[in-house]
Amino acid sequence: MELFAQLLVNGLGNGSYYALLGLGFGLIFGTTRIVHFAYGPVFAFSAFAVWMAGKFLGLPLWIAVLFGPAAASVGGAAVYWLAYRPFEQRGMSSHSVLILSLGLTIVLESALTLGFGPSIHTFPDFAAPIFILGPVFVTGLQLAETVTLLVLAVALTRFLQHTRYGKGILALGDDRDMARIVGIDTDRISLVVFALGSAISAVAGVFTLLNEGATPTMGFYPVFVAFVVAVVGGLGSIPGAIAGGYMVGLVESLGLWQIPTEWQNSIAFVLLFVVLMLRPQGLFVGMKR
Amino acid sequence: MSALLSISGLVAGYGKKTVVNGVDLDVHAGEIVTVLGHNGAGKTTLLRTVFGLIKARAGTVRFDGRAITGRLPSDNIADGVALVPQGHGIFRTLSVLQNLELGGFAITDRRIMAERIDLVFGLFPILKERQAQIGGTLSGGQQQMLAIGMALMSAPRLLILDEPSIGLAPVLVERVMDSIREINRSYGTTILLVEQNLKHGLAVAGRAVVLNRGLKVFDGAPAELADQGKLLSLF
Repeated sequence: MELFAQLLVNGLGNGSYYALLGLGFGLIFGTTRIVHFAYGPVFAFSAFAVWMAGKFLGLPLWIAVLFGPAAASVGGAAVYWLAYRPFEQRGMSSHSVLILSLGLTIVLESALTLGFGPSIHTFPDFAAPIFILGPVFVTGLQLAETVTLLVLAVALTRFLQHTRYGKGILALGDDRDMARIVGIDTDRISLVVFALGSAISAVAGVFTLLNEGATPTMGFYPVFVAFVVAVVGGLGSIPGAIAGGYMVGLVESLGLWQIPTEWQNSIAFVLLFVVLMLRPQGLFVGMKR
Repeated sequence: MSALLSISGLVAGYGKKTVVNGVDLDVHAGEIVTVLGHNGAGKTTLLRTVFGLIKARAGTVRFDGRAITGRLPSDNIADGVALVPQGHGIFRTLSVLQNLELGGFAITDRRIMAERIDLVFGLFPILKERQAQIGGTLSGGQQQMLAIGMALMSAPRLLILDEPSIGLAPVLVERVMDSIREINRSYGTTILLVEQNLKHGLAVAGRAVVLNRGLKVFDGAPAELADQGKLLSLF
């Protein structure tokens, strides 16, 4: 029973983290329909930015973490403007863009490896506090992940509903042609979406840095989980990303109760498979408002 | 009198295909002009090129005396040109109200936004009743009214409509055509309309234009076209 309670807590903590990943990825994918696998290296880049701010600038953690979203939004926007957008303008098929995205992932990961080396980089002098609550222990990072997820989800919902850019994002996600017809600058909205989605991914990137350290390939598994979470939840849906994140987190963690550890990474994909069989549109489609 | 919209020698297409092959067309302020023609005659391409959704390969489009060829749709809207596209010209996952707000995307003044929405609700009272409903769940006729309402949000001087009757039951087609006439009469909005439905297209038009394989083959009074023999020879 104690093991179950602990796995539940871990599952919820990971669920918050996965939901953050899905939120950013889903915002980009759901709005622009670009399967942005290079989300992974941009996510890793954000962790390295925070690491450098701590290591070389000597900044305290609470200031250094701001470098993550900043670096990711610039990186994500640059990837859109310099790589995806020229493809879109030439009217390339979504297959070409997908291949571009995969190629870009490899190139950017290699660039990070060249720049930082393959070893694990940890934030100087950081140790997460651990709280013991009865039979289970909860880390400060798990709590922080959950709180930031909820704050960001509420903020993003309000942004989408009440601002001009937010409405433009909803419109573009609904119908690109119509968005152009009502006079929305779809390139600019896409740029904003890439910056915003990447900044959200960076929040998860910072948590990975603090949990286990940064490596150039640290984005490899997260981008796939982000994809699963966004698709399972329903593309572009905020409640969907949250539900999808917790579903993957809980199934993965509670699965450990019965399933050998080696299978942990596969569980998310089994879940994807099952959900797509039963509900191909995702759990929350059309509830993005 | 110079034309509000003046198209000359317009050539446009997709990929290797040229669909519009050098079309000249003037639309004067206050007119309702209907463009008729077969599937693939180039009607939709003509409208979308005029509106800036497709690049013109040759020729010019002038609006109110100024060249607007290749200008962005957002600039055209700001200048008083709006398009109701073919099919469901709405955002299907958003509410009626959100759709109308997006139709007025360029409006930053809340008061003007509210006034325009009221104006659309006056024209289509059903939209007021359904304002919280999701666009995609409206009936076909209501979706078409919403699409027209969205275009009116920018208070256009020239309203371009691409087959507003498509997929609608005859009684609804009448209703939509009536509202187009009413928009033209009440606000003096110039209308450029594409129709495949000959009867309705001709009934509403002050002038008719026939396209065939990307070329204009007729431009004149609808009555002239009503002569069956003339129609057959053109199509």
